[in-house]
Amino acid sequence: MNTIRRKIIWLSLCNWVFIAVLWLALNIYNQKTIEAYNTILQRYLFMNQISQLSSNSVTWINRYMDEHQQSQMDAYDSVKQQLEIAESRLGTLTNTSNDSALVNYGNMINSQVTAMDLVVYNVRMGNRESAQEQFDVSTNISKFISEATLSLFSTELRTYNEFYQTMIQRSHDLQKMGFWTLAMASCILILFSYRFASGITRPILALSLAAKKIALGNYEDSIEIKTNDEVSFLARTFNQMRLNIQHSITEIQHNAQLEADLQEHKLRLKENELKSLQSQINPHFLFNTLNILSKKAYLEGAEETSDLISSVSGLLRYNLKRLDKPVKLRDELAVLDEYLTIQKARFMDRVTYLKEIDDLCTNIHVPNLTLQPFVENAFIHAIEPSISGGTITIRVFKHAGDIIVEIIDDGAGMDEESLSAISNGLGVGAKQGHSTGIGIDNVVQRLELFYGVQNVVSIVSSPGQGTCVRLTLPVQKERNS
Amino acid sequence: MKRLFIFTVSVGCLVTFLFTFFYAYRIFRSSAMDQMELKEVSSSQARIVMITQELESPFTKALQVGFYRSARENNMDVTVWGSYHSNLIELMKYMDIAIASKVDGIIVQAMDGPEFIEKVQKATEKGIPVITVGMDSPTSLRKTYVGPDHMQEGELIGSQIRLQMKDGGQICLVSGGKMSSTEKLRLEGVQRVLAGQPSFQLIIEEGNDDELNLSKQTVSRVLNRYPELREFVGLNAEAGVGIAQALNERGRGNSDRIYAFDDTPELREFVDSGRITSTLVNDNTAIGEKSMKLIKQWLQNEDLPLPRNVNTSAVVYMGKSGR
Repeated sequence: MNTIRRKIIWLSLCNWVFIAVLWLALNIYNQKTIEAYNTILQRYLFMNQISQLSSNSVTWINRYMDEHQQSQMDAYDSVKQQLEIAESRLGTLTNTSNDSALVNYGNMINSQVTAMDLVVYNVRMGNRESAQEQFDVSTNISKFISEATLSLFSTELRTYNEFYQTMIQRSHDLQKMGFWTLAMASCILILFSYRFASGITRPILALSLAAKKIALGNYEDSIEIKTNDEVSFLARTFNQMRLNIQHSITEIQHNAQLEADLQEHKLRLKENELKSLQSQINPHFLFNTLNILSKKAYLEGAEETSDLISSVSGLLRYNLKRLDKPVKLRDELAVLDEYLTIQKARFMDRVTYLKEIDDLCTNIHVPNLTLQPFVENAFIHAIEPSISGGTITIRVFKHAGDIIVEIIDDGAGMDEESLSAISNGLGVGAKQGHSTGIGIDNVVQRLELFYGVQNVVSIVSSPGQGTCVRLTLPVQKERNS
Repeated sequence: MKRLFIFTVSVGCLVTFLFTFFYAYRIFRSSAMDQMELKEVSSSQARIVMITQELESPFTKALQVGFYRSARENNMDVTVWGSYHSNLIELMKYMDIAIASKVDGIIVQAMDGPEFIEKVQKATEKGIPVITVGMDSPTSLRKTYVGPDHMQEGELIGSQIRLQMKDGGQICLVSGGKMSSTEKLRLEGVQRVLAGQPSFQLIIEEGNDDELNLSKQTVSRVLNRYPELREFVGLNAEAGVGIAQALNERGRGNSDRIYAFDDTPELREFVDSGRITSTLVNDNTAIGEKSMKLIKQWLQNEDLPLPRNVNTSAVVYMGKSGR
């Protein structure tokens, strides 16, 4: 992982290398230049030294001639020696344009030395005139040497003029290059620092923006930082945290919803209980009243009325039983009888019942009040609208391991539209006008829940052909009731 | 803003890099090119010194051309020394320096005087050959003389005069300063040609030692004395020009005849414009080449002894048209 630390080290290292290289190059170059300058200077110094030695030797010779001191002689000897050494080193000064001039120069030195030696010899021999003559010669030659030195200087300057000019130009160039290098280094450094700084700060900025968003409660936008340092690690962790928080919040919200639903359900249940309590007060009172009415009618000799009231009372009692307890089909059919008795009293001859019941099948458990709503439906839709009345047939039989209960009427029947509407639980007025307050869709739901299978109820009907409601009740093991 | 910043800095980077590179390249190139050359040159070249009376004079220049041409061919090194005006003391000094420098040969435009002879002797003692060019010093120990025979020059001009003035008459011969040996020889040549002709009357005018180049005044003086003079001879270049100028000042010159020696651009111009009748020209480049050849012969010990005189031929120049 490219850490921030490594980045900083790299930047510093690059800087250092750049500066070191620059420094080294400039230093080496400077050294070279100084060496070149030294060489030039040494040439001039050397020539000047020869000129000096030449005139010095003449001076010493002159003194020796006048005073004949051995010390002067020694001084002359040492100067002469130096002069000879210098002469032998003249070759190092040679270049193309001063070649013969240097040879002349060397020869002049030799001539001077020869003349001076002759002076010494003549002085020793006591030959003053010859000595003076030779001394004049050597003085002249010494003059020539100093002139030749000047001439050599000028040749030197001419020859290396271009070289000197180049050197001066170069030093100017070097100065300019120094400035430009400084500018370049500054630019590069600015650029690198900027990139480096933004490489660190940009992800941090993005991170802080993301943090602000999260602080404001926006957990949706994901945090993506594509660097490869600690910040990216931070960002990933932060992102994970965001996801976790988001998840937790969703869960909390879900739980709250559930809680709210539960609360609502509880409230509704309370309400229902209250309602059922309310409705239970009346039926008990009604039930007792009906029993008294039945007895009263019987005592007054209206037996039919007494039976009718008794039927209503039975129906009511059955209705008051707990709805959630399953009952035997037999009981269900018995309640149906009571209901039919009541309806018979109402419709008189307009209605005919037909019962085809296989008694072997009546032991099956069914949910409470499942048949009555269908029959009542038949009355409402088939018998009531028809002036001539109709027939209601109830059949119970076994078929293919299932127990089939069919409630058939010969009423006006239904078209496809109404049929599909009923099967979708959207039947118009499906809940209306039911004496028990239980609608068809309720019954269908209860049946399906009770048996745990779909399609318990099927309705076959066509206009003018009547309607057949068929309940297919699967035979199952006896349930604990 | 950020973009602009980065863009600006990047452009700055590029520009500074280019400039830096440019200067670095210049420095690198110049330092690679101009290493101070300090090569050892084997000084086996023969060092010849040419000592001239007048640097920059046409004679010296022509001579130099010849020197350098043959020096290149023969691997010799020629240095030309001299002052800008004829000066015996300077010439002697240069002779001294050449002797002290133990050069391999001295080519010198001789001057009259015992000092010169002495220096030539000194050089000869040291084993340095001396060759005189253009002007001779026959009494000295010079090895040889290369140049025109001045006597012959005089004869050439003399015969020219004889040709032009058949009837004879007065002829004025002028030398601005004290006559040098060269001028004397020229005069002698003229005299020799005209010796058999008594109708020719020579008027010889010369300046004195301390007054140099006064030919114009001399001519004026002569003209005052002899207003009828028609024929003039300038024994040197300066005299030729002086005569022409003096005559010109008096509104004369067209009908007069002036003869001159030496080959200078000025004289040639005068001849071309008709103000001077004729002058003599030498092939000075050939003098230079010949003298170098002789020095070489001496140094290599070939064909010794050298001839006493090596004369180059002088030609009468009568202008471009060759009248």
